[in-house]
Amino acid sequence: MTDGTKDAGMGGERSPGAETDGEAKAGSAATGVPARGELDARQSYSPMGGPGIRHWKEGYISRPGLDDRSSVFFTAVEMTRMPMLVTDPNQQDNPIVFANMAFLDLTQYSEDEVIGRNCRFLQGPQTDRGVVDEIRSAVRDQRAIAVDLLNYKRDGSPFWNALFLGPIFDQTGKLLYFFASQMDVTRRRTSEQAFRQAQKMEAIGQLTAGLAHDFNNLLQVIAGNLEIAAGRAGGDSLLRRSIEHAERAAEQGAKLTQQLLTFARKQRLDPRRVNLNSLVVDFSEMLVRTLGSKVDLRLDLKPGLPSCTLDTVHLEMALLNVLINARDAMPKGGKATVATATLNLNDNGGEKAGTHNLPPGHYAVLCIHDEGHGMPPEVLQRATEPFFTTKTPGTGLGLAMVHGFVQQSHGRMEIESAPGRGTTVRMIFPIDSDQRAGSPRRAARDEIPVDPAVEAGRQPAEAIQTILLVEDNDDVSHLAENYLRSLGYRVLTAGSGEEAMELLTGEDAAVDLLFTDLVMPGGMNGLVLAERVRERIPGIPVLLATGYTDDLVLQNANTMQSMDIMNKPYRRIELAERIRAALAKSTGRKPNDPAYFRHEG
Amino acid sequence: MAHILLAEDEVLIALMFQDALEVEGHRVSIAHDGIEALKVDEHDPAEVLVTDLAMPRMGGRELLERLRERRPGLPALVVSGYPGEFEIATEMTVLLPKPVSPKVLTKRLTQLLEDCGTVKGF
Repeated sequence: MTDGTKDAGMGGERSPGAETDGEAKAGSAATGVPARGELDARQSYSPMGGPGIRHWKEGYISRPGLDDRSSVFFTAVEMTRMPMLVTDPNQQDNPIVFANMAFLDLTQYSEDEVIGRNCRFLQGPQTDRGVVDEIRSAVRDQRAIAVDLLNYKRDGSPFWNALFLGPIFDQTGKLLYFFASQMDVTRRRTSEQAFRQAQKMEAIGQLTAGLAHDFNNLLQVIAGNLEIAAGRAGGDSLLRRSIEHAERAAEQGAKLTQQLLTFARKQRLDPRRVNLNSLVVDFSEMLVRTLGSKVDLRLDLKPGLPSCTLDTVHLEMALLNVLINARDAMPKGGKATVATATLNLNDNGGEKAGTHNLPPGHYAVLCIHDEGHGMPPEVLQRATEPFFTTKTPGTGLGLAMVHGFVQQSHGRMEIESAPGRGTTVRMIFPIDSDQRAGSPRRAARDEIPVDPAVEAGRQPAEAIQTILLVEDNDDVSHLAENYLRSLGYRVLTAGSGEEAMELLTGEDAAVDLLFTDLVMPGGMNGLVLAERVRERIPGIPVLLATGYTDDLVLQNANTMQSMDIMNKPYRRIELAERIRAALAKSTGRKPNDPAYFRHEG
Repeated sequence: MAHILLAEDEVLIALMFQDALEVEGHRVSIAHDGIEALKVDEHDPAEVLVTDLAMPRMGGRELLERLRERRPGLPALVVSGYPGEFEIATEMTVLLPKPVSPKVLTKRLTQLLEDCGTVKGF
């Protein structure tokens, strides 16, 4: 400490004039050098709410010693909630010689555990060594410093410490003490960090989505032209094989862009009502196969779990991804647990919604726990970033996809992990508010509209027959549905094979005839649907509508012999006749006597 | 076989669709945005529209509206890149998510024409 620096701080109205002779009088005031905003420039936010200007960064005292505790200032120090320390750099290893009560409150230590020790006992495994070095050199240079530092409490729990320390000299400029104040700024640090992470993920998401979109266009051109080329390759086997390989590469590229879109929350989702328990059970065989022989799968499913509305295919993929990670984390085997639970978030009582960053409400939790090696914090923090991976080989897209999917489903993914303590991944999804609105899209089981043209002379009840109409084109479906109803049939409609099968599981599933399109979007065509329906209702008559161009007709000529086929486009009168004929042929009786129908055809 | 108006701003995709549709025996008129498509349609009206949703100058949504002012009930196949970008609220409109393979395109088009015939003749 040079005299020049000392003098710089001695001016101003509070300066009593320095006692330069070293004979400090009792009662003469201490003096100090204001910080002038120089200390907190590096910090995003000073614990004082702005850069410190007037508080001292170094002090000069006339009465050294710690024994005089008689004045109001000592009371103030013990009363303040700001933790404070005094250390003695003239003793070996600069030990603490005074700690106020707020410091003991913060760190949970008792006074005798603190006095006589160097402050480094507050440091721990994740304390930034670089920052510690900065503090050390400030102490060596006898100057003040303000830093944010990760410290640990007595029970080992970490906290972010906004630390300030500055030197205290005697009137001749000889270093006597260091003063330090602490402040727990964990909450501020955590929210800053979460915000930065969220911003980063958002930026990566936008970049990824843009890239994936452009890539999709290119892949579409590549795959499409390969398809056309394949159709014309004829008998050239080498050409066909080249095209096939190129097609496979394009397919893999498309899969990759789909994964990217999932992460970027731009995936096309098809949410439907699903119970997490049944999904896990239905999928468990696949999960067991994936986990291999060394890892045991345990299920811990909460009975009576309410259902959610989710895309089941993506949910299964997410579950599979997390379990693959669990498997890879336990190369020597172990236990992986898939559990479900409910979670109620509200603002009074229950669990606070804010802790999960979710709005108050009812949630279902799908939880996957493993006993693997776990993740250190720096890996955990980046686990959902795309292309971040610790596996070789690994794409770094698994958890990124899970994260994107859960977000897009209005839920939240949380990961808990520590080295040696395994990993727990939680997917939290909102529960359907109305648990009973579960009927498929266009399930028309309601009243049968009465058409005066057909009502006359028709017996109700027993004569009514039910047609399951499966047609993906809404316009065609509506026309056919209204017309068939006007003929006196009860009509159930479905837009796909899957939806039709769902209808058949309902309680009023008595169906007398299946009238379906042959070609439909989705996995199930009319033929497959017909077979499935016949497994449930053997011998049910089937009427297939199809354009003659469909390859399916030729390939399945045998199967189709037992079914009636009607060419599209069809006319109204044709429909009525074919339906009636199919019903009559199959049952061998006349269900609704044609004589009753006076349709205008 | 039908006369198709194809509106697609990505030249390579337009060419690919054209090839695929012509292989099936359809006649194809090409435009690279909605305005151009309207002009083409004035001289040579098509039976069915195949259009991209996002195009410069005039997108697929407005193009479809304008064409249906001319010919109500014109069947249309709309190709869309993102979910939720376009809701099918109108008759005889098929929505195809990208990427679309030529096989799917031609198949859905055939279906659409059949359905359209059914509705018209019903």
